[in-house]
Amino acid sequence: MMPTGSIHIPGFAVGAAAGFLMHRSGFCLVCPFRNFFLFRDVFPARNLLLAVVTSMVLFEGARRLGLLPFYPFPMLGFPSVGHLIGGGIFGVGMVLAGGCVVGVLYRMGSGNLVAASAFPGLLAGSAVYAEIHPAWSVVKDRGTLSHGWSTIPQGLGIDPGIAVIAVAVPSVWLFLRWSMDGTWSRRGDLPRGYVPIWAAAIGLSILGTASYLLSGMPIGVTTSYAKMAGWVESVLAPTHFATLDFFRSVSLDVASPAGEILRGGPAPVLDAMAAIQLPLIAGVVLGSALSAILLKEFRVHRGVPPRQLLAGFAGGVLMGLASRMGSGCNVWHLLGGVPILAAPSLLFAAGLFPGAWAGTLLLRKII
Amino acid sequence: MTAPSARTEELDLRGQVCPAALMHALKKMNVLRGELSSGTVALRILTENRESVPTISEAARNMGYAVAVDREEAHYVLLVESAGSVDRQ
Repeated sequence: MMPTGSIHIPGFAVGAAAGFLMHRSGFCLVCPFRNFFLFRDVFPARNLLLAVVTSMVLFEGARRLGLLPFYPFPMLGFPSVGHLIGGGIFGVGMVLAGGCVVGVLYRMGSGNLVAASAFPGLLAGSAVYAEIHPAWSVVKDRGTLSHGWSTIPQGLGIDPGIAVIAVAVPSVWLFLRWSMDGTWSRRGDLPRGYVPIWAAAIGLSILGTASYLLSGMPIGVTTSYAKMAGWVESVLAPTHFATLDFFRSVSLDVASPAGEILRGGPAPVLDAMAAIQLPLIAGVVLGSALSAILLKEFRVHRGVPPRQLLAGFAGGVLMGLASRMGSGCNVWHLLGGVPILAAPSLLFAAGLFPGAWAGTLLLRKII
Repeated sequence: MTAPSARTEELDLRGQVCPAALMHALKKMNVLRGELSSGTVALRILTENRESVPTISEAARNMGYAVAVDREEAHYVLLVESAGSVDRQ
């Protein structure tokens, strides 16, 4: 693991590679849920499963080699009904916004205005959460299902490797079957410079593992959205800002194996959290922009229906709010927590299904 | 290639992301179903959303139409028309 003082460049590189890959492939963490409910399309779900299982195997391999600085990674917490509710609200938001917290970044990087309208929504949603933080903390604490374990292997008292094998072996069998059926690729025409989604799924799993090795945790960005919201609020309404406990809370407080204290949270200051997440955010936006510029596809098109811009903003608000209620976003939980079978992440993922279903009902009325 | 006698309708989806782009394209193809099938109309769909290129072209083919994809400037053009009118050319 790298000292946080020198994490900026590798963090930016991981983000840039992820942004580039996502722009080229159209890899999306919303589609597996949304497309199933809207079109009964399971193609994106296959690729999500591939990304989750690849991450699972890579994380476990790194753990067995003693390369992971933390296991489980920090900030997972204990499973709570709050994760399920957070996932449900996040599911509605991601469908309305047309992308998740990272999808919004890479689409924004390529000049898309719907994504750009979701970004201020993400900050606004984080600010809304700051208002309900004390009450929500009580709800989440009362809804905690276990104070003794975070991951399913911990709960069952088994070696994580056994759980990984139990999931990975049938998954690999499925992958081989789909490979023989030729269902890993879309049958439609492909845009220029296209990277197959299955390749992007594997690439993002490798990048997520790199993030875990370098920073001690998988890819996550939303605490920094809360930081940005806090900074805006501290400038616009400093007196009210000073009353909000949320912006004084500390979500990361651990010592690395090298003895470095990693401390940070939603406060609008440059702490360890900012050192890890901000370069990643900048990397995703700029990596996607680079991809679009190289393809001569960077363009800001202004003729977007206002309803879609409003839906994007509203979706951003819900995602910003829900990612704090559920202690992380979909990327953090789906590509970080689920691969180590973390119960909070499994609950968040379970909440995404009804949320995405409700989101598609709303979207049909809006579009 | 559009049949010489066919009228061309245009659907500009530039700036829109999925699923809105796909939903609008499906809606338009359903509205024009009769004319598209008979070859009297061809539909030109403009999109700059890369994800929409495979999804819209796949959906159009599943509906029995022929699709040709080209890129103009920074966006993609999907020409949807009757499979029969393409076979005849």
